[in-house]
Amino acid sequence: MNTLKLVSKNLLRRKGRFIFTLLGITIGMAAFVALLSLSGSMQSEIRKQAAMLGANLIITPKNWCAYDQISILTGESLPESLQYEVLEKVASVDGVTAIPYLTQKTAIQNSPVLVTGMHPQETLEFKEWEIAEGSFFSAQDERAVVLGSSIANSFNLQVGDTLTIRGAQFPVIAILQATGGNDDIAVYLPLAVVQEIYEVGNYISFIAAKVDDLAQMESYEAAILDVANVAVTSDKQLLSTVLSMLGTVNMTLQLIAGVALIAAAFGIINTMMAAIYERRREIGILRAIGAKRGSIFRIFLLESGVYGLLGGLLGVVLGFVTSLIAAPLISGGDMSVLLKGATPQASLDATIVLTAIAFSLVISVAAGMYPAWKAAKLTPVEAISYE
Amino acid sequence: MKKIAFLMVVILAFGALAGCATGGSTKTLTINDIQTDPFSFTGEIVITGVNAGFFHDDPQVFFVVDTAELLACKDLACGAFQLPVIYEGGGGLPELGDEVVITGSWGTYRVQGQGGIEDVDIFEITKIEVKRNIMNLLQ
Repeated sequence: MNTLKLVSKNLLRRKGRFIFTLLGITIGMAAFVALLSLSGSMQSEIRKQAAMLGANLIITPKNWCAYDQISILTGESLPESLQYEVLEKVASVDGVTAIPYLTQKTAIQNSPVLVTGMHPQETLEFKEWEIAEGSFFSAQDERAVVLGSSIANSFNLQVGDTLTIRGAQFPVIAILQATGGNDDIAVYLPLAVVQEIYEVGNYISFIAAKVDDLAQMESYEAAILDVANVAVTSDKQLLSTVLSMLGTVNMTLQLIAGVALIAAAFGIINTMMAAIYERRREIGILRAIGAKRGSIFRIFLLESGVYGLLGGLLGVVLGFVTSLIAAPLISGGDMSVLLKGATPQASLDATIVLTAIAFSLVISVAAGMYPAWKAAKLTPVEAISYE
Repeated sequence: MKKIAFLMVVILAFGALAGCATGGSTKTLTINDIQTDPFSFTGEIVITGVNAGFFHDDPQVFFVVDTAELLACKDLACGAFQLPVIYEGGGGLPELGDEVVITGSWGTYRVQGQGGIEDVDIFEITKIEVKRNIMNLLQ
């Protein structure tokens, strides 16, 4: 009988014990995979949104906290806090192109939708949007709407349809090409129109700015602060603030998953130790017919390795299913509430699969070391004479 | 071996069923979702938020603020928008700081204004569920 056959026979000798030990490592790995999957997707989503913002500097009121800044990345509505004159001051700085945003919300078919007021032509160039259908605004105060592609698809809206916002009706004049970011999930109107219908006077939410020379970022920041009483954040600072908040939460969750894995590893040790005591006579016979200590060690190590491999594979599947279930539930939790629109999505890539299986194997093999060493240490005489 | 396969199939099927069960639930709106254009939401809607205070003239009327905003500013009075709601159904009213999920629709409420009796818009609750009290998170 070869080693692999012997290993599989030994494992399946006690089916109940095999299943429950396997479930231990499977559940531990599933927790680990689910967390990796959810947090990985959230991080990549936030990075993507930061890249799609297309701005080097974000100008906000001084009293905004990290929570408000996150909303810029997650595409939530923001308070109208900056006077329009601030935009003129910022735009007066040499080498800075500044565009205003006023973000509000409305509902289409009872679903909340972001309404963004902006300067049409400047924003079109700034964001490098392309028009999929219809024609873009022809005037700074045209009373019409342009839709992000996902909004048009989700609500089955077309050019020529009418949208009601705050009781006023607006024709849809264009639909943007999909960008893959938050720009797809907003409704766009000229800034002046949004200010009027939402009755916010000449206020805007924030300013996005591009600079001519990225190497001179600090001097641009200083120049803006000289002309306006505002807070200036670079896109990298903004991204790092959001990711550090996410990182703290992730680390806590991964520690919890780690505890589950350690518990599972002790389950393997326990199972293997029980197997050694049950199979002492068998180990003795194997040793008596010439099996070396190394062979016995290998058999037991392989057995725990099989737990790791199977547990890893099943854990990946179960973890992914769990993350599919958990994603919508988590979106109501404190983490997501704090990170607002950055709702976690289940995603699984080759790195997560390979990391999980490798990690599961390493833990299981490490857990099997001590029992395998104990088994290999037995002499034929003490093994056979055991009652 | 068949038993093992069966057990695994049962686990995965349970997971898939649970996924289907959670996928069809009604969208719960936040106060942030509705605050700038509340009447664009029509019919029966579900909103979540935190009870930030009661109306002094009528304890059945209370004000709900955005949970995320409250968690960030840690003060019941800091909500930029307070949704007035009324609950006239049976059962108890939520405590101050209770995070609630309320189901209902828009209606009107008579109050004594400076110029006499006037009708104001209010969210009429038909069903209320208290999730937790977040006062301890506001310290």
